[in-house]
Amino acid sequence: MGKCLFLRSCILWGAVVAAMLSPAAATAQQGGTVVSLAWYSPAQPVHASAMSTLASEILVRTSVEALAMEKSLSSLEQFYSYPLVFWPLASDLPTLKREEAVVLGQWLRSGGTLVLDWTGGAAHIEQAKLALDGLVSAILPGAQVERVPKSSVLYRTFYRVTYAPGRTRLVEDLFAVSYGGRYAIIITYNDMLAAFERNSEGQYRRDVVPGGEQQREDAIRLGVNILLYALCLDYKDDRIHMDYLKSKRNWRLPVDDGQ
Amino acid sequence: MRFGDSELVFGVEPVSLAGLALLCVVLLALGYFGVSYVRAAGWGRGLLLSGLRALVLTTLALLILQPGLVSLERVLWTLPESFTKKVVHPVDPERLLGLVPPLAYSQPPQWDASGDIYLESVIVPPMAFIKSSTKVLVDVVNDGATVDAQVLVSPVEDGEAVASDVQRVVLQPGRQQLAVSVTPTRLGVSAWRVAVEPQGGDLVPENNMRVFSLTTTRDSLRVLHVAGRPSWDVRFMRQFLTSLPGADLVSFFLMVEAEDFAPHGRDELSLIPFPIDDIFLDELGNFDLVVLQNFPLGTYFLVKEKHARQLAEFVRSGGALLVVGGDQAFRAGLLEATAVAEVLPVDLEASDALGDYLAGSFEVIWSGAGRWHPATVSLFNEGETPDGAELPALAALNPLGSVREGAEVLAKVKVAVAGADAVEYPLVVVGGAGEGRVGLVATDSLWRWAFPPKPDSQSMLVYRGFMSGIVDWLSWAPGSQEFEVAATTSPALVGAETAVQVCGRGVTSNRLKGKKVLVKAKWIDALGSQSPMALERAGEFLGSCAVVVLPPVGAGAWSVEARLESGEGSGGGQGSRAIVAVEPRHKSFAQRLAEAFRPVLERPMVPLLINWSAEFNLPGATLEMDKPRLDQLWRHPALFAMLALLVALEWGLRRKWGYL
Repeated sequence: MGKCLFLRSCILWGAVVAAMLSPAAATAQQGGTVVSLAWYSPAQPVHASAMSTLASEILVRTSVEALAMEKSLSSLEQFYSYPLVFWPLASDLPTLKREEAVVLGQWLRSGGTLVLDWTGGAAHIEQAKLALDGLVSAILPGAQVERVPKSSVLYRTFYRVTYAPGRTRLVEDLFAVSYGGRYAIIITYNDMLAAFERNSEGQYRRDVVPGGEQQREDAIRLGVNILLYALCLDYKDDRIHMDYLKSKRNWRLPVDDGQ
Repeated sequence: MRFGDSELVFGVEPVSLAGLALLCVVLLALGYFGVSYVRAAGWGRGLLLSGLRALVLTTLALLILQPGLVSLERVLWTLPESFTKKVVHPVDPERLLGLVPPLAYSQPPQWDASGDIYLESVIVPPMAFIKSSTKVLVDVVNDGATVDAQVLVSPVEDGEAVASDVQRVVLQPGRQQLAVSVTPTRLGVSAWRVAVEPQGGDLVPENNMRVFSLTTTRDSLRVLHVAGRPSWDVRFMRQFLTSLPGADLVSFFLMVEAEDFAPHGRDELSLIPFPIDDIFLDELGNFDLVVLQNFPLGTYFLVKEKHARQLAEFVRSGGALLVVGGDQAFRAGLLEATAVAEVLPVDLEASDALGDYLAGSFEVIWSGAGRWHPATVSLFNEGETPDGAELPALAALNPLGSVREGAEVLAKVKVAVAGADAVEYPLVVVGGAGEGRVGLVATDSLWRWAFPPKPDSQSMLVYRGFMSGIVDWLSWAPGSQEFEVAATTSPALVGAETAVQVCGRGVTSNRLKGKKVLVKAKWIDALGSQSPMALERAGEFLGSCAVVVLPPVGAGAWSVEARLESGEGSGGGQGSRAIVAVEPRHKSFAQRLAEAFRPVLERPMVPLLINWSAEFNLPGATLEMDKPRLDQLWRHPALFAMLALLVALEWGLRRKWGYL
């Protein structure tokens, strides 16, 4: 197993380096087709390799030309250059000023998608949920944080994912805030980005519990799904896709257990 | 005399004013003679002689004026056997002056008329939907007995009628409304012919047919959106397409590439195979608009020549195609090597471009055509840029080839070249191909307008307006035409000139004064027996409208296309269109009969010369009526005898009494 993973990691990093050195990629990096992955973490530093890993996995697994940002965004105004932003949150949740909440709310209403990734562990998770409710209310007045049902397109945008994996598995489900018929804010409580961090030798830095490497693979798949949801919205809910999957692959949408 | 569809009214003119004047002269002369006779012969003899002289003069005056006596003459004409009885009402007798000489008017004549069937009017809905049945109401008048008939509806096109819906009906006597079905197969305005053919023929077949125009649109817009890979440009395009009212959207995005490393099995994916044959062979005709976005039509391994050929034929047959750029689009995807290249408004092979896909920062420059074209005119009001928005620069460009004849470049960009002058490349190009339309957007960065980098930017409104305008124009939406074209009188009549008015829509109307309009008109015969006639006319806009006059023609329809003479904003070789129906002057049988009676009856009394004969070219049964006739006095010998007697009596009395 370890040999297979090592071999795959070599192929993966080799492909990433080759892709980044190719003229097409050089052109694509500067053109309109490239999808940038940006993150914002004024208080919680994010290991840069997490985003690079996610971008590389997307590059290898899908047709999307993904590119991680070299550095994080330093202000909310910079959000307007990126339709998708990851924001890892720790125990000290931010308190937005009124003008900051207005800027962020306008960005979301314009079409931006925000992924909030809780990294604080189990200790303060309940306070985090309450604080997030307040944060969302400040950004999008009237909006509510809701559990994403298992039948949601977010779980099948590219991969079939049945739970919300990350470095941990504290909460089974994804949560989200809807606006304009789409999920404008997606919330995961399982420290998803940490599962992608690598060291200088290319090895994963953090252990994933309790599911180990399979859970890490599931986390990557969830990351791919989130990006493709931001790019394709409810494309996979189109009837022609559902009819095919139900008839040819004998799919049945998961029955929500109401948790 | 007046007439309507079911009545004939006769009247007789009173005596003329000249006659009244002559009568006054006679009375004055009598007065003079009377005074002379009374002075000469005294009151008794003077009055007697005056009376006799008055009688003589009056008789002479009557003979000169010839007021005649009105009597009724029973006349018979033959008419078609199927005619039924109809009552004709007389003129109101109080309208006539009861002057001397005595006058009269006719008794209500009873006449057996009709047998004619004619179309009184056609009621057309303001809009019809393509390939959907639409009801058109036809008012039919049957002046005869109950008869079986056929109602035929057919489009008026070059040559003969293309197809005809036939409905069998039973026409009762009187007026009735029929509902006929029309199923248009083309968008825009079209001319149609409806005709009623009664079994056994009709007396006046010319009034059994009418031409009308029908405006056809879509009840829903069926869109196929195919993207080469997911991107932000694809995301915001999909978001726009799903927001269109009445749009049915089917999307296919290529989410994996064949060379991808796949650490997963197929069952772990929610992806489905790309149904290339279903889309491009079997189901393509069910779509109205195809959007190819960054799709490598020339290099994708599943796309064969037959698929590209079918897509090209889809456009030529009336479909709409929008091709959006990206790193796999146009020449970057070898589109020039496919059959679709033949229907594009640019020649992709004729290019001296710096590459197939350029990255950089490109500012949009709107062309003159872009400010007038129906697809983009709504973006501009009085300013030089789309109102109220500073548009973000574009990050990429697909250099296109040379623009083909008839195509319009709505927007362009300038590309800086090291050591040389900047080069302009078209960014948005539109054109027509066969019955369809094609639009090209040579970038994958338009999403920056939909998701602007500045919080207070209004560029998302420009994005939405631009996309809506392009989609409306490509799909022949009725409101996307540049001009409103209509005849000043509707319908136009056979044998009369037709005046066609061309008026600007919306914001264009304020900028038309002094400009010239070119109208191309084609007359098509309703019966398909004569060759079409084409001509061109020019006019000048006085204010927001211009009028051109078309020559008199026969029954049928004018197909009119209007554009600015300079060619601006004409949209890919196709101007604003309208159909003007040309109909024969409809006369009912009663109108024809009344016109035939008129020269017989309406004659002034001074002089009195009545034509006693009347010719009616009517086969068949009988028309019976009491025709008023004026009997001239000098046809009565008794009047002459009386005159002679009076003259002799007066002469005799004057001789006896010694006053000669």
